[in-house]
Amino acid sequence: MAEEALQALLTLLVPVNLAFMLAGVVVGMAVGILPGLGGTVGLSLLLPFVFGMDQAPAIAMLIGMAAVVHTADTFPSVLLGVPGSSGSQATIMDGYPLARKGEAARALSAAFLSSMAGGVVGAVTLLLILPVARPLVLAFRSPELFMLALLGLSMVGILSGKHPLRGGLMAALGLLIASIGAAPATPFYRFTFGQLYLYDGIPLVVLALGLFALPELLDLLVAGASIAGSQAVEVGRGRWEGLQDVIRERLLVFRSAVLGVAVGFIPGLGGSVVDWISYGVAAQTSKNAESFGKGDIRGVIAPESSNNAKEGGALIPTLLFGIPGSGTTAVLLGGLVLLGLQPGPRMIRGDLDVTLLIVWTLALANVFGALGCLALSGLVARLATVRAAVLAPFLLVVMLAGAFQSTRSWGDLVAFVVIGLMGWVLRRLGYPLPPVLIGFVLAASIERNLWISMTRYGWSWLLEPGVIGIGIITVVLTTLGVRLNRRTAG
Amino acid sequence: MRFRPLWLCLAALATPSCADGGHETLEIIVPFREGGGSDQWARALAPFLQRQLGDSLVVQVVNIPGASGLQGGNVFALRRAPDGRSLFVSSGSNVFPALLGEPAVRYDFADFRGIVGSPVGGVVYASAELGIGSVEELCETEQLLVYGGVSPTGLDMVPLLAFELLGVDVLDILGYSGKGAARVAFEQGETNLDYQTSPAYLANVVPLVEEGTAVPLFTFGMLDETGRVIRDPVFPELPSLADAYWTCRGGAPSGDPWDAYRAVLVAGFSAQKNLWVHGDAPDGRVQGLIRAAAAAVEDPDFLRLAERLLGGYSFYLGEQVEENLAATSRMPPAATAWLVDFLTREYGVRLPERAD
Repeated sequence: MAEEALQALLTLLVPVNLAFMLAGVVVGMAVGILPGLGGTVGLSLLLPFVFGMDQAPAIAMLIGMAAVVHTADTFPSVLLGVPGSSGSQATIMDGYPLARKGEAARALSAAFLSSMAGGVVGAVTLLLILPVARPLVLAFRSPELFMLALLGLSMVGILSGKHPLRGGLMAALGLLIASIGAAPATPFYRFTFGQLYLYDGIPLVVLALGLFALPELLDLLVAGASIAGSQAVEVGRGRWEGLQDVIRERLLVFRSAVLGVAVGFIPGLGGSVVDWISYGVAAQTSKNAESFGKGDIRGVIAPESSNNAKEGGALIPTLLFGIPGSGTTAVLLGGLVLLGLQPGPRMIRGDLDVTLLIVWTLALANVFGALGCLALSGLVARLATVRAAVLAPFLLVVMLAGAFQSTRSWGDLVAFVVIGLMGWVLRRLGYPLPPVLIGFVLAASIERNLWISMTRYGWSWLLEPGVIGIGIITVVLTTLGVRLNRRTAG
Repeated sequence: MRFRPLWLCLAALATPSCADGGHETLEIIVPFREGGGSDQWARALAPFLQRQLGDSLVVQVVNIPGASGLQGGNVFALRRAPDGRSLFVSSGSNVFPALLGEPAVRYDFADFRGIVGSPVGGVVYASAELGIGSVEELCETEQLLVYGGVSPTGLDMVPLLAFELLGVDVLDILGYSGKGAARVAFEQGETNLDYQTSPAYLANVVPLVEEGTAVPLFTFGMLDETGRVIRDPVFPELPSLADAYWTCRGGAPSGDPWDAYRAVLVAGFSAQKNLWVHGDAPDGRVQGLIRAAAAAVEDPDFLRLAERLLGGYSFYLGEQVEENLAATSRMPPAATAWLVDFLTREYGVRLPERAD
């Protein structure tokens, strides 16, 4: 395979292919930076241009775009406390407090370097795992997928701070919101009240923006200050320090990247919560974890490494089975078919050159994307010094556009405002919001796989070794998480 | 399709259009997300329509997803002017709800005129572990047959009706996130009976057949002009469901279940993807579009692409589109009643009362 790999690299380095990859990187950075727009929108934008292009430049452009979204989406998460895409919400937990302390540049450079490392690890893992991935994907049947979704849900215990019960309540709220619309496993519509908009449920982007962005904006306006407050004088400070942070925490970077690949490659687990899972695990397994949530650089490094690595993992089921591992790969799948490729077992036999090209693009685009973002960071970090009253109208427009992009219907805007106000009230009352999102994202997977497990196996699936194993891990993690939070609180 | 700077598109992100530079636009509404089957179909066809229509008209694919394809259909029917400059792609997913009387459907295919359409086939296959090699053995087996599908009101209606017609006892596991996920479940051994549409079958199941883990059994067949179910032209070596019925039941299929099967077969497969224009659009424009489509589907470049994308079926044009789908709306009331009763009895489907 070494020879083919070299050949694929040379293909990518042909100027025209490299140019299209860079074009993809630029689009990826743009949709990453704009709150609410993510890889799905980026690919939809590029799709019309794909037709009629040669395979190599088109793939370089599509993958180049998808690779860097989670690098650039860190900007708004850190600087504004607003998620740049659905994959960078956990970065807010510590990145935003860092920005408020005047250390935005440090957080950003640490985020970009760990994004790059995570992305490269993801690409390498994709390469190594592809030949043996089929049996691995096949090992996760519905009962195991159900248990993995429960494991994801148990992260709520870690993320809810002093009040695990409130966290549980919020996760239940997320599950409830997710039950709006077409049921995942049965032909019923729930809570649609005759509104066509609700048939497909609330879009993830609308929920994420509403929960995190609108309340933040309201609080900013109430406070009336700029984000970095009075410490805004030197936002450019600490860029170097951030890079050193990553080198010091290289083990965490690697661990989180591997976790990101694993979550990405399990279909249906919801690549959009990989940042939360990674954040939760980092908080759980690190020393001196009490500083998490108050501006700990490790809280930036872990999710950023994972969310870039995830794309490598999500490509495994996409390429080998033609089933998308994330929203982005779903659209990518369509693009590949338009280019005359049929994802399936052939991707490692007949079309190996294409697969290797994808791997190289993923790795190189991650490097270019991180460098590009680093170069921009000094300039963009100044956003944090702008007064809220000046920034807010602009931000509100961008957010509304981002929300409206999900289904381009008026319902998006109404849902955004309603959820935003609900989020603001909940936040004021001291309820943690991340659990709402986790419950929301995992709900379909939980319901679907539980339904399938019960109809297929009755109760006997509960005795499967995989189910019992994941169950034990879940119980241990939840207990530990709750205890750890109690200790740090007391 | 013209190449416009990406930045222009980015600037116009919230608006669906990024290719109107003073030209008139021909909008093709795809009522599903980017990247899905209908989207691929429209995007494959669009540049060849463009080639025929020339520069004066800019062909543009617009995705209006929502409510399993109903939203886009409603927008097309209610909010687009019938000027022949808006087209609409229908697929099994937004024909079935119309067929079953879903009250949210505000469009009626009888109000539209067809431009071009294409069929697709479906192949039912079983796990080699069952030791079943033919339809005959399928009907006689005592083993537990487990079928994995998505929803009893979607394309799975066709295989479910097929099993019912053959009298095969199957444990249906419905609720997989898509036919891709159902195929993975088949490979895992979670299910042992499955179907895939022709292109997916060729790409993903043929390798399984070659390595000896899957055995093809029958195709759904295809409805010809006289209303008979004939063999699938892409898989002529496999029996159609009509042949399979003969094998298992020893007679010709007839009655309400058979009429229902033929109706859902048309909507889901034999007339799966169709391009429509408003019925009251100017006739000259409609004729022009049909002529353009007729030339587009003859383009050798398009045929090469379509072969890979759709599995090699031939396209039909103009009135043929309307006639094909009319076979669905001509389903006898007794058959509709039987179908609704079957779905309610077997799958607990509750069909809402029509408001009007």
